[in-house]
Amino acid sequence: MSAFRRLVFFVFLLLAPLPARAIDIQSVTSPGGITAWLIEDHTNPLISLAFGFKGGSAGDPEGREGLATFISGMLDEGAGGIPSADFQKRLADHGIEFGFDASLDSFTGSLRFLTDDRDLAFDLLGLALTQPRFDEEPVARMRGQFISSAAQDERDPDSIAGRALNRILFPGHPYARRTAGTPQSLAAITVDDLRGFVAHNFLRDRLNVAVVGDVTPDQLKPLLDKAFGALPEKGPAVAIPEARVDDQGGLALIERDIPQTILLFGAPGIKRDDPDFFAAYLVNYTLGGGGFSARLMNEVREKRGLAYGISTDLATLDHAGAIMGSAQTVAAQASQVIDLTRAEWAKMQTDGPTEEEIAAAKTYLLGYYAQNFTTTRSAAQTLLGIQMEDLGIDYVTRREQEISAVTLDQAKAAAKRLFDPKKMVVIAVGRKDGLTPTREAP
Amino acid sequence: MKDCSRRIAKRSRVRPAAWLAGLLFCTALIFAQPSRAELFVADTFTLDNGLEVVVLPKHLAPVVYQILVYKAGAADGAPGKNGVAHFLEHLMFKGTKKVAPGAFSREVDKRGGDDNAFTNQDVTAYHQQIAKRDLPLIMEMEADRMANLQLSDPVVLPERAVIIEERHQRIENNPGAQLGEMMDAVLFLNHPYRLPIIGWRHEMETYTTQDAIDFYQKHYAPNNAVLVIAGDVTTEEVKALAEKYYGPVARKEVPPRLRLQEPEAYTPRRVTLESEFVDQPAVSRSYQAPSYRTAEGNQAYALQVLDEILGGNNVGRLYRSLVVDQGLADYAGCNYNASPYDVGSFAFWGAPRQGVKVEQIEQAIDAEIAKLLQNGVTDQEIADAKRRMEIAAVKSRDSLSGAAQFVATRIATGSSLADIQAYPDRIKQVTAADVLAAAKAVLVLNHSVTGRLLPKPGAVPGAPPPTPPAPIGGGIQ
Repeated sequence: MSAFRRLVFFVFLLLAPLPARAIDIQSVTSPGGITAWLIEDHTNPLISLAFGFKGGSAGDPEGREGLATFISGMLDEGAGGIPSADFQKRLADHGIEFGFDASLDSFTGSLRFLTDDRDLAFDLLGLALTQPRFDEEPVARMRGQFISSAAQDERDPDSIAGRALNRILFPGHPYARRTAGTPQSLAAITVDDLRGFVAHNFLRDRLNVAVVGDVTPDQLKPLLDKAFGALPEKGPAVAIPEARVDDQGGLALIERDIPQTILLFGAPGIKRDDPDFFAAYLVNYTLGGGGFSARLMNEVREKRGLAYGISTDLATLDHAGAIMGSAQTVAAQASQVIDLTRAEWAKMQTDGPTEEEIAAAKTYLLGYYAQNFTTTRSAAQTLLGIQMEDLGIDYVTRREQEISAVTLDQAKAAAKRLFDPKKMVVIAVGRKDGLTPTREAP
Repeated sequence: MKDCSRRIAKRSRVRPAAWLAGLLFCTALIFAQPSRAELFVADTFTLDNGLEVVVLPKHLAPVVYQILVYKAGAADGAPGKNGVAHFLEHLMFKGTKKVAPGAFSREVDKRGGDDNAFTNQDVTAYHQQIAKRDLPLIMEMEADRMANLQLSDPVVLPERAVIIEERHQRIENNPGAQLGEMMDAVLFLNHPYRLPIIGWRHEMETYTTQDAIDFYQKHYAPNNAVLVIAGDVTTEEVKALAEKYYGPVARKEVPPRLRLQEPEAYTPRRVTLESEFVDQPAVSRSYQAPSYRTAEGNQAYALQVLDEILGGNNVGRLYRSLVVDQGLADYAGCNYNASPYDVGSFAFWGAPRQGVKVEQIEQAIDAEIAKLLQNGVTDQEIADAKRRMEIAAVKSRDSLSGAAQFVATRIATGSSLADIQAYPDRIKQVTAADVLAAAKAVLVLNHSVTGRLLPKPGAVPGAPPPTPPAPIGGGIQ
């Protein structure tokens, strides 16, 4: 339901961060030289594995948009001597969850299985990563599914809005393209393209691995080699340029005959490695990221009942930082919601957050982190996120200090730098009622 | 019958095929499944005022999860007021004498917690996840609003506008959800499940502060609720806190759950919705089915085994036949929902590949159903399905909130903790004959509705270029 669902940016690391004094992260290196971070938890006979390669759909070749996404659907469709139907029956009969995901900057995988099946799960993963079959029937079947989905996205107002925002914010950059491809680009992808993606992306020097659950370091070591030991060491990476994020602001309207107008907001933001990151995070929480504790939710929903929800997020990509927000309201109220949002941005830029707001944002951010470690799956994903951002194994403790150290002045400076209402562009998808567009929808 | 909730769930990734299932059908809890011996590590006790409490200890992180479920939902509303259960859910955040409007969520946020609520036809639930040290706070605030809610027009009326925007967002901007609403409206001829959980818009516009207060006073009481606490706790800790905070809330008389029941139906129902926002057509069929509470013998369990055989992910009969072997569909599946208090559902769906007509998908689903009713299922299929379900049950213990929501809503719709815990054994007992008998009892066309979601013929402003011809690379159409 979130308008952001199709915006392709994920910021799981941000929603996450933590205290978890009880949490013991071990670094485990296999005889073959594969390193994984491990949290042992023997409560249930379960293991979760999360891994990721740097490099994602932003590297899809021109005219082959959707390639990384296509691969994410093909890795459980047969590998080595095991054709698709057998492969899927083995996964199903052992209840091995086996999922893959392509984002703009990375390709990630997530497995969860019973302790008894750990050899089988790591063997199947090794086969999938090194010898995927790409047989004719599953390629045609998955291609059909992705094309149908891409064609549906072309009609779906939420998707239309998300694509327009990406195009307007990242003009000419790979981030402006459609991660999941177009019907045309998906139709053009060949089996050689699929094999090329695997050969150029599944490399040890861009791999990170996290494991949480019922396994000891000594048990894990040989398993890591089964899954990842046969991957090539390195290869040339696709060079992605830094994006120049659009700062022209204004309003672009895409007319569609729907009762409720979809509004997306966008502006230049901040990258994860920026020294002001946590200051910016705390300010964004105060303005729009903090749900019912955020100013926008209070002004737009609680006081006036203008929308079911409104929020803003920091999108921290490898080659761009952006602020993105969303709200939906009936057509007649769209311009009022836009005006209120701009006014709140302006107020935040001018006056910044209050001492009390920053304190509440800090305690939220500090307290929330432990929630990431309540299941083996989310704990593994959290560890992987830390690795993918190169934050280091001491991040869990360092993070707490970094957040606590942010001062009110630093937060005000971040607010001044980031929340400029003149740089905030609005994409509206809906009826024209009372809206005056100032720029073309891309 | 998708739940409505106070705030939108965090982003979730959906595989290309998942939208239809999500839009049209009841969201089954992911792990409506069984295990070895007992499903969960669990303990239970009841307070003197009638509040049932279940404790699900799990110690991976110093975090706890509280869910309080009232045994009252949209189907318990007065005529013309069925959406008031959901409206009240929103208003429960508007404060008491002790807690200012909005302060509940702010206090939880400040401590790094999460809170939300949801309403379905049968229950209304409030839940929070937070650090263990803050468990007393959330129990105190939840118990406080069980009896001391304060409502007045200045806070209620803007919230009425919010739920109307919520309806726009969930239903009126969303053709799949509109079709789902129409399907429920004709599948049920008399039972209030035919009405939308969120309410019809023209009725929502008339809801008053007094409507919400009336529902609150009638249904919200400790003896009409179930409390589940999961996470880094012991039964002793929970018992002491529950007695301290919930113990003083007075028991009251609550009305019996008597809903209008379904008559005999003489014909299948069929609805079609065309929309310019739809590109890929889809079809779904929903049969009324017994629920955990109303099923006789082990019928509900037999239907779950059937659901796994037909709809198991990537290996079920529907996917293998329609998607892989015949190459007709992009996706196909089914779902049995046994959770409702009165009437469950068994639903099928599918969406054609490009170039295939939706009629062919419906015919192919009908052919699978006919084959099932003719030949039943094999012992091998039964054995495979049971094993998969057993593994899924073990995996369901990984989730803190999921396990707690499952237990709380099951108990609030008529199951006992013992029923829930016996699930693995009940599944083990299911035979091929049980599955065939249950299928024959349930898959009766007169008890069903079929819905088709179709693209609207004609051009769309700013429409995309025509989709390309059949994908290259072959295929087995």
